[in-house]
Amino acid sequence: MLRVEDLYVDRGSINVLHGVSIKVEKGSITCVIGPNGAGKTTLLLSIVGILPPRKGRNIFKGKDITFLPSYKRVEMGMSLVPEGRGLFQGKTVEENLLSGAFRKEARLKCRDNLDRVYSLFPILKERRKQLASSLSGGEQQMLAVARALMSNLDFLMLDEPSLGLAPIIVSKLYDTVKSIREEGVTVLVVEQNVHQILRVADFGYVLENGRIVHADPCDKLIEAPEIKSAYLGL
Amino acid sequence: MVIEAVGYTLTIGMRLIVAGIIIGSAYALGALGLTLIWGGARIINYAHGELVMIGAYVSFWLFTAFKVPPPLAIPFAAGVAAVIGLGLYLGTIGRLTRAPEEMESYGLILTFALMILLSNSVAWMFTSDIQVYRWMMVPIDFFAVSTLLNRLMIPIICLPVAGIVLALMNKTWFGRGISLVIDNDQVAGLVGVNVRNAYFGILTIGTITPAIAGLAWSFNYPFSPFIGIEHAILAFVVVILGGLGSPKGSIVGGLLIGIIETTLVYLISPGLRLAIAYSIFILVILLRPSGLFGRK
Repeated sequence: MLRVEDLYVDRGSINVLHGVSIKVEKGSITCVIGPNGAGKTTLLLSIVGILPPRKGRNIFKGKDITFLPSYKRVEMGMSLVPEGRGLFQGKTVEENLLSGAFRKEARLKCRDNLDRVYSLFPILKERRKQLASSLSGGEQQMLAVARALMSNLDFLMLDEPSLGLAPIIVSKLYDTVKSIREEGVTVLVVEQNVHQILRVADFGYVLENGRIVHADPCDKLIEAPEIKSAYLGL
Repeated sequence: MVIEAVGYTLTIGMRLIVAGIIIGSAYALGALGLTLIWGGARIINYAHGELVMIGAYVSFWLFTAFKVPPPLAIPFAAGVAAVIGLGLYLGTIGRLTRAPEEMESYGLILTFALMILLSNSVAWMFTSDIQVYRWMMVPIDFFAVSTLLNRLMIPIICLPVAGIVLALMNKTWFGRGISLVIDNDQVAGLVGVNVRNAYFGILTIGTITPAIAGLAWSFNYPFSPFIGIEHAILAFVVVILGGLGSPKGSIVGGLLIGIIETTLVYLISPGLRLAIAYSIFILVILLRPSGLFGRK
């Protein structure tokens, strides 16, 4: 689905990523874990086209997208739920959802997709006339995921979805992510909350100081002594 | 006696409302452009009033030199304004990949320069004399209100153009993209809006509408190359009243300001025109800073 090859990305004059390569298999849930400031968000912003790389390539569905503008990448079927959810705070829940259907392919299926996300997140249907800013943190996160689903996407990226959420909400959110995968959507999650994501994801990368230091299936990663001591506190 | 007095007050009231809507429709269309550029591209357009002035002069020139009636001059006024809009786009968003803070200061300097450049070039081409020309200056009765046909042409030109812009914003995907960019351009990019095109749309629509308002203004009231500031001040008040970034707000706000202004000018004094506008401005800031249709 996605191949990131030897990516170097700068933010201003700071070199953040130093030759990152990852691969996301179609139909998988892949995660990138790592401490604060490792470059996880930068990696996602580069994949979605907001931060152009200095060197390296992004290949999506077999096509080199390194220099494609963001909106064309969305057209190709990827969607990022950014850190802090990135909602239109001044618009209602339903207006936010409809904005997710901006992608050409999704416009005609807008009604069907709306029913689909409402059945997936009944709470959003209840609150559809409310302003997005009036929702709780968990509901906002669900709205952000739901909006991404409105684009009829096949590749979903989540940036720290568990940030600021109660553990019970986080596990509910990850249940949803699993059911989204069952529908054929490939998922890439970036997380600091290592505990939960390693139980959900299939394959994991560890990003430290802008470099991938580990790459293994998650069941192996969870047993690796370095991961245990550094991230799980065991 | 009483009935006569009531009848008289009603006629005056009617006349004031009609006069207010007539002038307010030009305010509304002009402010529509300012609210888009200010609320959408985060650029305070200092040259806003000069765009009104440019529209007036394009129409004036085509009418006096080639006998082109003002409605047919709309495409030309729009074209000249669009070129200015393109210049604004190239000078701000077109140059910067991603830095809204920089865009604000770029926009500030650029539009300020544009303001001086436009008024001075027009003064050089047409002299700085006050100009007047007459078109359709025929008395007519409209809803029991006697007025002039050229006055009535202001809303006949301005309201449909404003309606077209609103329809474009609400009914087309391009327009919906623009409203998403006005709300939050980063998120708009993430849901698949071509943000650069949307900005280009914002800047061209935002420069065309005040020029058309100026065109409608020009065959009614005297104008000179330096009328810009007055129009800009009024447009700022309308935008604040309607809610920054809300096209609907600027239309309702423009009509309201028109009615309030004509009424108070009639009741108190014409000398207070701008003072009235600024009193409304202060009241809005104190009572409802988000304006009528602002949601933030």
